[in-house]
Amino acid sequence: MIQMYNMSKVYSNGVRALDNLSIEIERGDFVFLIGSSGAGKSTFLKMIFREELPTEGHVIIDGRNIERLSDSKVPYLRRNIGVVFQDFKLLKSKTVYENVAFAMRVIGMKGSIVDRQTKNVLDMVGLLHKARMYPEQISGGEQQRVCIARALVNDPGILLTDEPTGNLDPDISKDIMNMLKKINLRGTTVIMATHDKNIVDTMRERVVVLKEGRIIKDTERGLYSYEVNE
Amino acid sequence: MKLMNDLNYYIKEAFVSFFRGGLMSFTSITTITISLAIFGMILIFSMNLKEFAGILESQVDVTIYLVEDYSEDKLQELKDFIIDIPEIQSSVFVSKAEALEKLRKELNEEDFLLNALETNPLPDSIELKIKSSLSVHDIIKKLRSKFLIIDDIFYGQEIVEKVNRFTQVLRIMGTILVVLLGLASMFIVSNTIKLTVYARREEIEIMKLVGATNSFIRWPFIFEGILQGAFGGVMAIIIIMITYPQIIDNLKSMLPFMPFVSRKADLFLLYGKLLFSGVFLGVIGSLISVRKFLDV
Repeated sequence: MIQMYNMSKVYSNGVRALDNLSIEIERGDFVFLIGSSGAGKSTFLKMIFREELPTEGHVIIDGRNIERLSDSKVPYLRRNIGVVFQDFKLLKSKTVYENVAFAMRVIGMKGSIVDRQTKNVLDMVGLLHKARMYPEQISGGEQQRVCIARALVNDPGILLTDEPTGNLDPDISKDIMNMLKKINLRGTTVIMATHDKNIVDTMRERVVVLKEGRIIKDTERGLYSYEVNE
Repeated sequence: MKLMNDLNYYIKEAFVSFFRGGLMSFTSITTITISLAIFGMILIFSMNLKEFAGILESQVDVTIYLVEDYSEDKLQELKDFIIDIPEIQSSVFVSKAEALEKLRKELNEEDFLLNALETNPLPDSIELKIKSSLSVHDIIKKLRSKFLIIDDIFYGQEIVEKVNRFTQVLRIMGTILVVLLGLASMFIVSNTIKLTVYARREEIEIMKLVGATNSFIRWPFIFEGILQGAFGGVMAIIIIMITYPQIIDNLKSMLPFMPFVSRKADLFLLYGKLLFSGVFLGVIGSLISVRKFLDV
């Protein structure tokens, strides 16, 4: 469970990205985070895996207050959170396979398990046949799927995705949404920042609307146009 | 099992980065090699000097001259006292007649000079060999204050003190030089590692974001430092292995009395010190640069 109480984030340049925000997200929820650029969606996600710390208020994940987490405990928090980054953050010098396996290797997993699990998730995102290629040799959409595979490889309890369908054509984004839903049904909490009206409207999941760092709407089975325009 | 698995990863990563480092790795190894070779030379020099001083010291002769008239009892008392001093290796009583005979032998052909003497001017004496020059002062002081039958004491005090002083100066200067060289090496190792860390900052950032612990990120860089240090150490050892015997050969004809150290055990100890110093420099150098970079 993710809980945020009266949380604000002011960056060192003075920008107030989040403003007195409170929310609870249950384990196994599927949440769309929508709002215009600069509304605070990315900062919201960064708070959860502690890339940033709140300036005021509290962020509590599974009962643990993350701003009180010592630096040495942070890695263990992150192992339970898969992140699909807006800019993918893939390593150009490593193959598709290595990029995914890397995420398991660096948390100290054994070679044989790494190999099996890496092939598993690559198969799941439909990229097993491109495992030996380098990121620059595949399309943007495929890079995104590699990023999703890497986020899933450690079987996280929480999956954060920042605009995961932004670069994809509609067919592929539908596939990815199906995949995320499947993962969600297995019990993983999915939080997805997006601009994609179609996807939000098709899925009919919880929709949280951010504006200028505040939650202006939180609907159980929301629709994009309805939530934003009103 | 997990440890072996991780260790395997660290070492592999270190080797990859080490060879990818190319010129920078080469630069830092060269610096370490030069520093350690100089360090080794200084060690060898002081080792030889110590050996030389040791031989000089073992030859420290103290001669006790006795007064003209004394009783046998008093002499026995002195002899007994000397035997009980552990620092004294041996003692020999030399009567005035023996002393004259010795002098005559030393003068060789000029012994006619002695014929002009009417009486033997030499006193009876006791010659002592002392184990270490450090205890000479105390022993002499004790003897002087205790025994009235002692007229005078002569010993090679000055030479020994000069050697001791020279060794000390050399040790201080050597230490300063070695510390400076060590700092320079560390600085360069740390810069080399900093460059590898910088080149891999993206990778490090991702490692942190997917939950790698700091120590997991740190170890490959530390191993890389160890690798550079060990390489530098081995190179320095090879340089010394090649040059030192040649230096001995060249100097032996010039300084035939100088006892050059070439015992295998001493040299191996020296090589061990160099290798250890190299690894130490490498570890410290990499720790300095990795520490700062880990706050992603």
